[in-house]
Order: sequence, then structure tokens, then C-alpha cells
Amino acid sequence: MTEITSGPDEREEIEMLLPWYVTGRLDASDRARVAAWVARDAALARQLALIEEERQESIGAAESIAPPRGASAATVMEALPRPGVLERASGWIDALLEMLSPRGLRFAAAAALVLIAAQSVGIGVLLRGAGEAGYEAASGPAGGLTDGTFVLVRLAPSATVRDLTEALKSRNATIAGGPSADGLYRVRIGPRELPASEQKARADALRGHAGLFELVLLEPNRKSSP
Amino acid sequence: MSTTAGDEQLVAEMASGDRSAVRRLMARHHVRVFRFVARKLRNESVAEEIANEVFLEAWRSANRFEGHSSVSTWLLSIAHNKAVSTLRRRREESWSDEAAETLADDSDNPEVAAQKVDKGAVLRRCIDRLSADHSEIIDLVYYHEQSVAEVAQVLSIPEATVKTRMFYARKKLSELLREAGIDRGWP
Repeated sequence: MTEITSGPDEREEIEMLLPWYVTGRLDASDRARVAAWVARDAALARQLALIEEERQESIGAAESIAPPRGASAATVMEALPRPGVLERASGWIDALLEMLSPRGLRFAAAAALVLIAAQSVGIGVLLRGAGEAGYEAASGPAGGLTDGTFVLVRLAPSATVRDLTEALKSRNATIAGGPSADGLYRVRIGPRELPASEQKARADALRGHAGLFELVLLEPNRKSSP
Repeated sequence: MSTTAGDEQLVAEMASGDRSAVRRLMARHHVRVFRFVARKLRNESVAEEIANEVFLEAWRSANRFEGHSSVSTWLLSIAHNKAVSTLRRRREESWSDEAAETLADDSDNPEVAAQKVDKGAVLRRCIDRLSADHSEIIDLVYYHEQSVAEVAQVLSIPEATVKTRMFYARKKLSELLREAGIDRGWP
């Protein structure tokens, strides 16, 4: 807090600090300054009672809002990712990316690493047999969504799941899995393996939703993995 | 909400992938985050959805939480940003802030007229009639007990602006009370 000189300016400053004096959220030095002023300025002292009234009613107004009746915790827990292959892979990718810069290099490396991770998932699935899904997320195992063209997306910090849902609806795309702990969603952008040019066009269309995505990466088709 | 080592421990557990820590963090903070958003948006169903998003975002960014602020301030900051984004997108809809303020300005019905007997009820109604910015800062200071620095962080504004905004919010509140027939003798 900046030291201020005594006089009208300081009184104004003290008056502005009164709400925090009442709530007990001033540091020791400001608390002592306010206390000294309140002791000798009756008008300031009278304001404390007004502020206490405001505080009581503000708390009352907030507490009159009943807690949500919906099962919020269950909803959030359901949306959290279950530990799965892709989640572990994306954590590993992030750790490696932390060592890289600048941004362009990181992005290129991210694309390459996701490609490798996705191929590893494909190999893992082939080795374990079709009975085990390689990607598990809140929406359930990805089994049944192996056909099609997919992208991995990460939402921008200000975007919400509702934004994502609306954008995907406008592109005839659907969420196939996610989010992982790193916020990656698997999105199906086509019902079958599309030509490369069409894949790129659809991924670019998603990137065109300004402010929605932080990352959009094409996922290699599993059928074409070794 | 005060800073507690327990909150920071929960965020650390979330960063290490412990899903149960999210549930415990929600048990501590979900209702307050929900009420903060509900008062800002004046729409409880959307507020619940956004409050849930806040905890999903907290899960995703737990490994970036460095403890420079309390966990409650961090959560309120996420909530504020999400609420502002929602308001920006939905400002044309009927439940927007502007519409809510218009509704709040409606003439008194018999029930409200009866409430005016109670000074506390009038004060609460005047708080509801404040602009979104003024109502929000009153809520952050009085209900959430955020310090000047913490409010500055939640709203991404300078500390000097926090103090002047709070001052003018209180001044406006007094004006509204005077219009409602209660002169507090200040300012």
C-alpha cells in the first residue's frame, strides 16, 4: 500500500478502505491507519455501522440463493477423464513440450508427438485385441467409434463444453471421447475415412471458430496404422 | 473464504491426477462459486453449469496453480472469466444483465410494498438493483470477504480501481435507498 500524506486525500483513501476494515481484510498497517482515523473522525465512525448493515444484507442476499438441486459433484466427476492410454500419453507429451520453444517448434513437435502417441495406441489395441479400448474418457470407452475421421482438440481457456457442442453441431461433428486431464477431446469429423484434402478442410473449419480452440490436430486413421 | 493449506493440498492432489480431490474441493467451494455466478448472471440454471465448468477448468489447470493467490480467489477468477464470456455471448437473450436490471426496476407489487416495511429487505432489493459491476464488487467484498488485492485479481483490474469502484457502488446504494425513502445520512 502506498504511503500517503495526511490531509483530505488521506481521509478519502481511508474512507475507501472502510469496507475492508469491517470485513477484517486489511493488512496490519492499513488497519492501524483506519483505526486511528475512525477514533477521531465521527463521520467515518458512523459509516462503520452503515457498512455492517450492507455486509449483513449482502450476505443474506447471497445465502438466499439455494444451492443447486442438481447433482453437481456427480456431473463434474462424470466429466473427468478416467486414467487411460491417451491421458498418460498426453501428459508425457506435455512434459517433453515444456523443454521446447519457441511456439512454432512446440506446435510442430506436438503434432509429431500426438501422431506417435496415436500410432502407439493403435498398435496397443491391435496387440491386446479388440476387446480393450485404447482410449477411455468420461463419455465412456471409445469402442464403437473406430470408424471415421477424428481430430484431437483442446478448448481455449474461456470456451465451455457448451461452446464446443454448438460448434460441432454446426459442423456435423460429435465428441467421441474426452476430456483428458490435459483437456484434449477426441472429435469425430466424418463417418468414414475421408480423403486427405477433405480431412484438412474439416479440421481448418474447426480452427475457424475464433476463440474456441487452442489446438486442433488430425488423428491418423487407426485402420491405416501398422 | 480464506486461504487454507488444505485447499492448496487438494489442488496439488488434483495436479497429480487424484480425481477424488475434485469432489473434496467442490464440497468446500462449489456453493460459493455457484452463488457468485448466479448473482452475476441472475440465472441459476446457467450458473450451475458454469460453476461445474469452473471445477473442470480447475482440474485441467491444477498443475499450473502456483499458490500466488488463495484457491478461493483462483476459483472466483475462473468463474468471473467464464461468466463474462457467457454474458458477452448471451447479451441479446432475455436473461441478460440488462434485462435483469430492467426487471428489477419494475414497479412495486403488493408483496414488495409490504417488504418495504423492513429496512433490511429494502437494502437487499437495492443491492439487487445495482449495476452488474457494482453488485459484483459488493458481493466479492462482503460475502466472499476478498481483500483489495484479491478482488483486483479476480476482476483483472488495478487495486486503485477496486477501491474507487467499491466506493461508488456504496454511494449508488445510498442513492437507491434514498429514492426508496431511507436516508442514511451518507454521502
